[in-house]
Amino acid sequence: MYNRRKGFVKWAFGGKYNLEAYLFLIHRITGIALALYLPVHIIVTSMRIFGPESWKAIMERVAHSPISAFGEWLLVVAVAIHALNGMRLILTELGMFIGRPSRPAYPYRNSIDRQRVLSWTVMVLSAVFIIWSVVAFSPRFFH
Amino acid sequence: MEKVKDVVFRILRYSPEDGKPTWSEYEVPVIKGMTVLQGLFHIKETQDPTLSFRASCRMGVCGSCAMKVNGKHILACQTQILKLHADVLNVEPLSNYNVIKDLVPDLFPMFEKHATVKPYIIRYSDPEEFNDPTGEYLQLPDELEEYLQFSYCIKCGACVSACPVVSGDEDFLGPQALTQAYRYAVDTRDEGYIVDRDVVSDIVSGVFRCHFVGACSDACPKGVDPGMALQLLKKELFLNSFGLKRKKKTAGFHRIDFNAPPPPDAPKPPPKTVEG
Ligand code: SF4
Ligand code: FES
Repeated sequence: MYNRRKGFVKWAFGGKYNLEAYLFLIHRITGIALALYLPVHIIVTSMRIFGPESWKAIMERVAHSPISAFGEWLLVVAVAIHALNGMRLILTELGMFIGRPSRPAYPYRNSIDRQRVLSWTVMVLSAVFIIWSVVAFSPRFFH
Repeated sequence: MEKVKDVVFRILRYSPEDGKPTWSEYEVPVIKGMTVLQGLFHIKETQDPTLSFRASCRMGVCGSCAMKVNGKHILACQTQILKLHADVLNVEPLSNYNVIKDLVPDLFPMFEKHATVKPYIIRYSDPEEFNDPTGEYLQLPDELEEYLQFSYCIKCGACVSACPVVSGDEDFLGPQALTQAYRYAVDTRDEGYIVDRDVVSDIVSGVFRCHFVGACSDACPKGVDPGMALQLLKKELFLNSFGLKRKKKTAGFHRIDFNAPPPPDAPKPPPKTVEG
């Protein structure tokens, strides 16, 4: 026997999938990135307990370079996408937008198709947010 | 019937003796209406008798013949080759399982998980009714609709194969088992509810590992829509944990006298035929 379980690889290349499989992948990536960012954020902001001087010093270092501006922009985008898609998941997991059970009749239309309007909403709002954030951040990128 | 075209079957072959899975190609003359399963039988009968696959009913009810063709999950017996609009078919066994040989996956893990959710009606108030039935439980049409769709599952395993969460973690019960948990939990005749089927809320294997990718619903060849069952199960668990939802009781019980003589206007049973 050999095992056909591909592990985490399948998150990305599992086969011919519906749109939501890609939202799932993005949700995973942004989620893990945010979880990794959080401890760093807590360490940096906790510098304040060593007094205003050390706070200022670290802020000088992390807050004013274009690279950290780019990092911050990535963070904002990740939070936005994760939050928007998270709202879609909360709604569907509470049984909204997925329809009611009914006798299957061909061609099948399933719950994931019924909630697709939410997926498109998430993607459009994310795109709008990303464009807006680029505009808002641009002075800091080219500073 | 006349041949419409030749289609190449690229099949992922594997035999335990050789160790490594390899692709083999076979050319099949396709006639109108021919299914993927018929194509496989054609190869087995005329080209390579060592080809292994599983099939029984050839009408989409036994769940033996689920496999992947060009990346899509299908039942080989209810998929017509010409409807796939392809000249080359990449035929693979299901993912997320061990493969025993060629296109035969080992579905045991799925059946074991299926058993852990207690996929049967649990009764406490009248246990003797199960050993010695005296009638039937009544159910309203609306109550039937609640779970009927999910009872069409034929345990083919396509949904488990499609699930990326099962791929990442074998311990997750997977769409098939959790769908059946929901199917029995909302059946009004059942008294176990989600309380007795406590594996469904387990932190490692339970339903909250599901992230509604929807791959299972897309893969299911019977229109069962496991994705919907799992979301409804989450809702049920959520509402129940705040005491907002209680299990519905059965609409009633209809006693039947099994020993009573048939009514005079009942149709007569057919005459017994003599065994030859
Ligand atoms: S839910 Fe559908 S895909 Fe999954 S085992 Fe049942 S019939 Fe097969
Ligand atoms: S052979 Fe029974 S489902 Fe295909």
